[in-house]
Amino acid sequence: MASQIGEGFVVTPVIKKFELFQPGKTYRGEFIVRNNTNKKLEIQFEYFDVDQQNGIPVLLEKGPIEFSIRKWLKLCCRTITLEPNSEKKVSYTIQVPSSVYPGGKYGVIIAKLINNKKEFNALALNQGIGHVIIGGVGIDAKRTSELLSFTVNKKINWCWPFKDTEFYLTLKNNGNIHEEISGYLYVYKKSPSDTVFLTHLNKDKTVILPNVKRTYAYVFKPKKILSFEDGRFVINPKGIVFGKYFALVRVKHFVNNKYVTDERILSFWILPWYVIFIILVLLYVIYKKINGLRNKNKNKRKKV
Amino acid sequence: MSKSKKIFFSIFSILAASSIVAALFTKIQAAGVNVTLTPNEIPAGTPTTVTVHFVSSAEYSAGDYVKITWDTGVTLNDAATPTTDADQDGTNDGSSSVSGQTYQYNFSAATTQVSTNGVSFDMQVSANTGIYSASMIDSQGNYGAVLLYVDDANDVYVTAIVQPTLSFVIRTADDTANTNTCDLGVLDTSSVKTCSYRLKVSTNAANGYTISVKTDGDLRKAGTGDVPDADDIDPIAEDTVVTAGTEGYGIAFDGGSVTSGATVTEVPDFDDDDTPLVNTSPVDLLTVNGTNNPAASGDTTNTSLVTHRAAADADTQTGEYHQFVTYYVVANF
Repeated sequence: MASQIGEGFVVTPVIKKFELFQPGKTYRGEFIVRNNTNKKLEIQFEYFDVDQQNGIPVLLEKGPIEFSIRKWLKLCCRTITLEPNSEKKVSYTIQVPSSVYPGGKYGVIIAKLINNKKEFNALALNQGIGHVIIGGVGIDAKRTSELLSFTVNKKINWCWPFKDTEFYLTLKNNGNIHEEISGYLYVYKKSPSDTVFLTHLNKDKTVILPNVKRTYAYVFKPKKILSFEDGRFVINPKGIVFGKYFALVRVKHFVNNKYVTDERILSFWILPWYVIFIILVLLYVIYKKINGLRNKNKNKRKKV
Repeated sequence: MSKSKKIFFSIFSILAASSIVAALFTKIQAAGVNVTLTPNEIPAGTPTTVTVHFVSSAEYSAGDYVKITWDTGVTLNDAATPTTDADQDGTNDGSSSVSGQTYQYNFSAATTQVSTNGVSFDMQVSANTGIYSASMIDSQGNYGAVLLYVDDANDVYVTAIVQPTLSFVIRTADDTANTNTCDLGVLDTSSVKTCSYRLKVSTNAANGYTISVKTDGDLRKAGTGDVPDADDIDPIAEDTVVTAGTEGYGIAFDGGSVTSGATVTEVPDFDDDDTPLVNTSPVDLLTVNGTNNPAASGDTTNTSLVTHRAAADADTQTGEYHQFVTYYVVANF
């Protein structure tokens, strides 16, 4: 059953990630198109190749043939009619030839309203929703990616927590099939065993298409200092952030067809100016207090 | 001021200063002996037998011991087959016990192969995702530490699946009705004519979505609209705006925001001034890196506003000009 989310018409699921294809086999996929309006809708389908620019999908009328699934794809139908508040399954098959070059195969099926432009004299508008297909022939595919950089946006964050400290992990897929990294980012002070922040590097299982450089961004968000748990306030010492920290990424990805774990580490500082200011004021007050008492004692001695 | 008060203030000042210095200049501790852990990476929440290994400085004798203490968060048990021959010379040399976070091996006989085999101790550990350390000390004064990585060696066990869904509709500028036209009206030489509508996307796809746009050519009264000519309203040059009295056509784009608070990024060149709209292949317009669930009606915040802007000059030919614009939305992957 499709979700009732949104208006107009709906496509679900919007991504189909196939297990790696075997040559000579046929694979089936389907998606649902739902009409959430109270009017009858005519839907047609069109196909685009797809690429990425830093993780953002780019639709291509005709992309590189070695990565296009166009020739293998057979859609059940060219158009469908949807009664108000109804839905239909749209099925397709992917016929993998028995003799085929290994590597990734990608494409997007667009479900689009049929909108006859001849009816319009001015600006006519139309909309389409994509169903992304991600697949590939894995046998003998070149699976290799490169960890290019791991950086932080501010080596010293003077305005924590009003300005974020962000980490950027950049990889390039040098293979001919998509890469799906995994692993974790750890932030700690003295030792990795004392982690104050932990996040998955790719919890939504995004992919990097061949020949694409992609940067993942992570915001440093340690636990709140004060939280309300089980009916009482709890102070979390790990939420108190000040001084020098280390960020460690352990990235699992393919290098020359081997699944490896790469590590990068960097250091950064959280030095909120207002905390430093308060400390300096405190030190100054202490200094003045001691000095004042010393002078008092001197005066007492003089009187004596 | 009494002497004791003076001392108190002096100590307090020194402590305050040194804690600041300590906070600023912390360093990773070094280990005395190279301790290894096999495997050093285990799945979360799964009891796994690991082996702690190191080369001691000298053979152990009866009465010697090795203590391995794990971080809190690690559930420690002895191995199903506890270690009895730590140096693996074929002769039993001791026995192990576990108490809380500490594993202790007590030698009951002398070892013979510490310099070649080192010593190895098996134990069972389990923990949630994270990095944990184990520190080792022995009765000979050796010490060291090792890290255990508990992460995604296993996939998360999914008990329910919510399919990613995308809906997309073009709405009037006030988001009160669906539309599929945009009427610029009658162009004249004294003003810029505009018409607006909203792109409304709802999705539960955690990676967000990207909207792209393509046209069937430029705004024209005849021809294919592939090149600027007398049959069209000339597209403006990039990095300019449509101005009254000068023939020109382009769009202004405001990506708006999304209900999840995710980042909405207008793709250059749509992120600044008016932009010509003549591309006959899809070009990206906007990308969002999270979910969006705008209100059913009247949501002018979590929707994107497109404003078409056109102006005529004295040479603009009379006629009915038209253009067909198609927007596509695709989930980020």
